[in-house]
Amino acid sequence: METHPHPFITLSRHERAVAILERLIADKRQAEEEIVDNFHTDPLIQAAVAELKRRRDERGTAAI
Amino acid sequence: MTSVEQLPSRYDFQFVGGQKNIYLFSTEKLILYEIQFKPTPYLFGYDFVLANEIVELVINVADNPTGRRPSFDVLIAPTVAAIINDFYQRSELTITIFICDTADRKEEAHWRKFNRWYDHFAANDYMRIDDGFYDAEKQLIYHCAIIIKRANPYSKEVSSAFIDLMTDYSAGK
Repeated sequence: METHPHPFITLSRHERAVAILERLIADKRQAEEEIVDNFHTDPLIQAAVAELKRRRDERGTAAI
Repeated sequence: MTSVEQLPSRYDFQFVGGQKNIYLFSTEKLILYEIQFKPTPYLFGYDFVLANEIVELVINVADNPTGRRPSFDVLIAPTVAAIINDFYQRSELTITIFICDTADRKEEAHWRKFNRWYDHFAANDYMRIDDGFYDAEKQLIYHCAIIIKRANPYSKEVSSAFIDLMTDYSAGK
């Protein structure tokens, strides 16, 4: 079975925790940037936006 | 019997899916929000029993045609709660971590916002563990929370792993 070594395995427990939490924050910031970029470029996002708009036009409101 | 007109309870949303488990919703002012449940298998180590069920909750404005900062909107919190609920219905073993960003120095406001979303949950079905870590260099507190279904058979392992991670962080301070 393929195993995935922990990427922070050589660090102390404290250093590992710091590295993990810093990565978490960095990943979140990257995701937030990508959300803005992908809105214009991702066809899946554009299709979902179109579907939301279609349903909103049908109801006459964004709320349900 | 008189009929009572039901007030809108939340915004309509759309599940997009993909690797990041994307959802979208649009407000009455046409501000588009994207929510991601981004896989975070490294959080407790790749050998953790539910490593592949761990996701980080990310919420951001994808498009804002108003050109102004989005104002408080009472329907956003129930919409976010409904989306989180929907995601857990797709995958009951999900472990969600939410971490409050500090890049804009508004971490306390972000944390209050998260608490508002959570208040709309069917809280009895979920378990939430909060903690925070202090970055002495930047003099900032990062609030974070883990959400799991109470019915998750590994809830004890998840709680222990989270507490261990936060304890390890604090141990070197």
